[in-house]
Amino acid sequence: MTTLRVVSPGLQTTVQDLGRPGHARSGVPLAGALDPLALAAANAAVGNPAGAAGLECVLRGPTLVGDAAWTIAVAGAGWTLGPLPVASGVPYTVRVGPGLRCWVAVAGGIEVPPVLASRSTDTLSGFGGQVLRVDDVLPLGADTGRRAVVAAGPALPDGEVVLRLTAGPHADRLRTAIDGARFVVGARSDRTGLRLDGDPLAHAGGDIATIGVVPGAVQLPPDGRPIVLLGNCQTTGGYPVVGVVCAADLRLAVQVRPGSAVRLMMTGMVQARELSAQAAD
Amino acid sequence: MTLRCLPMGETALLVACGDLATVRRVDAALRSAELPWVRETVPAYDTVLVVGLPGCGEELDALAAALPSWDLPNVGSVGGREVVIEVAYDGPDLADVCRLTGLTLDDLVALHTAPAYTVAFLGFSPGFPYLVGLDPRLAVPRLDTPRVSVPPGSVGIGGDQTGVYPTGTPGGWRLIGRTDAVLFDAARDPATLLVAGDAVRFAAR
Repeated sequence: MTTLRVVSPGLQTTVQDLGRPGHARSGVPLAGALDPLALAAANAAVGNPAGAAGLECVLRGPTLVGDAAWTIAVAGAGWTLGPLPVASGVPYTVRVGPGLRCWVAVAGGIEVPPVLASRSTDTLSGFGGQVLRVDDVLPLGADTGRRAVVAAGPALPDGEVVLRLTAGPHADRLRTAIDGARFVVGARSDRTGLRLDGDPLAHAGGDIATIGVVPGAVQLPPDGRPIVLLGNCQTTGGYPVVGVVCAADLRLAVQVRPGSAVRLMMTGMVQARELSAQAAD
Repeated sequence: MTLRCLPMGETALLVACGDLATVRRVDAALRSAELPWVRETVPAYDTVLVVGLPGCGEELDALAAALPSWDLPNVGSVGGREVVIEVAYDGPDLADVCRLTGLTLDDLVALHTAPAYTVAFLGFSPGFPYLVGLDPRLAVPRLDTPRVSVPPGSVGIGGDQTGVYPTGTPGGWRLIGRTDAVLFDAARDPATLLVAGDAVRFAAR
């Protein structure tokens, strides 16, 4: 069995697959790659099934060394790399940018033990997968030998990132138009959500009874500063949900670095679904 | 009560049910329908979230149109187990809760152990039960500053809610006790001690 040794873990590198769907009613977050399409693309490049476990890297990638020859592919914001063979014993360092995150697939997949049928690291609940540390040894599965060239996902624009939202269940709580509202991604953002700083959105206030939520949901806490939920969010939440970022733009939302600007813009459900269909083609 | 279907993004639907009993019936109806495009349903106090698979837009819209006229099953007996959770009433906020409520420790324990609470749903963190049935005399405000990490098994009161923290999450409830009961264990099947619809009694030990 081929293994990879972690020479340097990078900033926050975690093992991720497509998460734990089906357990939300137990309070278990979806977790998994924050851009599942990017992980699936990297997996396709190295002949893995879409749900094979790979690595999610943030800002500074890990350095890995194999005890045999291995093959890597990486997908980031608007770019892909590989499939690329790496010789045994030669360290390989993953470059993350441009963007904040990238996803690494290794031919054969990373076979840490599954928990609730997934190898994803649930960074909120603190179980499953693995947060990489120096000298960790990652076992790889069987390489299918298939390779493919895959298309890159959306690239980050030069200026601010526009996040298009469909109206959420509590859109009527907003007292100002959300269109064009500008925010800066706050430093407390993580895999659970983007905390947006800026002029608060005026809203009608009032509590809601806790509801089930999805990644992409835009919550509006009492202070009027929206939170865009990401893939490792809680399964339920008690803040009004004024909109939901369309799936196509959520891929960019997970790439915006703290301190960078985003603009919110309402869109229709039909348009949002067309964008997703185009991305899936 | 008429069901209202509210949009929650391209592939999910929030069904406003009005009350917990209707939530239970809508959730049961959706689960027994076994719709192949539905990934999961997430019940809460007065809503059920229907989460579909990517590309399920047409099916989701059709469900939203049809659901209000569905015949809902009677589900008086969903869950229905009674689970007893033994609690040592020695939490770090116990004295504060007595002061805030004006109750003696004995009265507090008596009031907290009296009801059969209903598990409305699980959420917030793996295995965390939202319980209904807290005696209003025990309601206390949440902490001004939440704890960064609440020890697993902590029993707390926040507002008009009570519950048990399964894992070491941050939390703003006032802690009145602790239990050895394991509410979530990913290696166990089922992983959660409780499911929606269960009854919970606390017993002092």
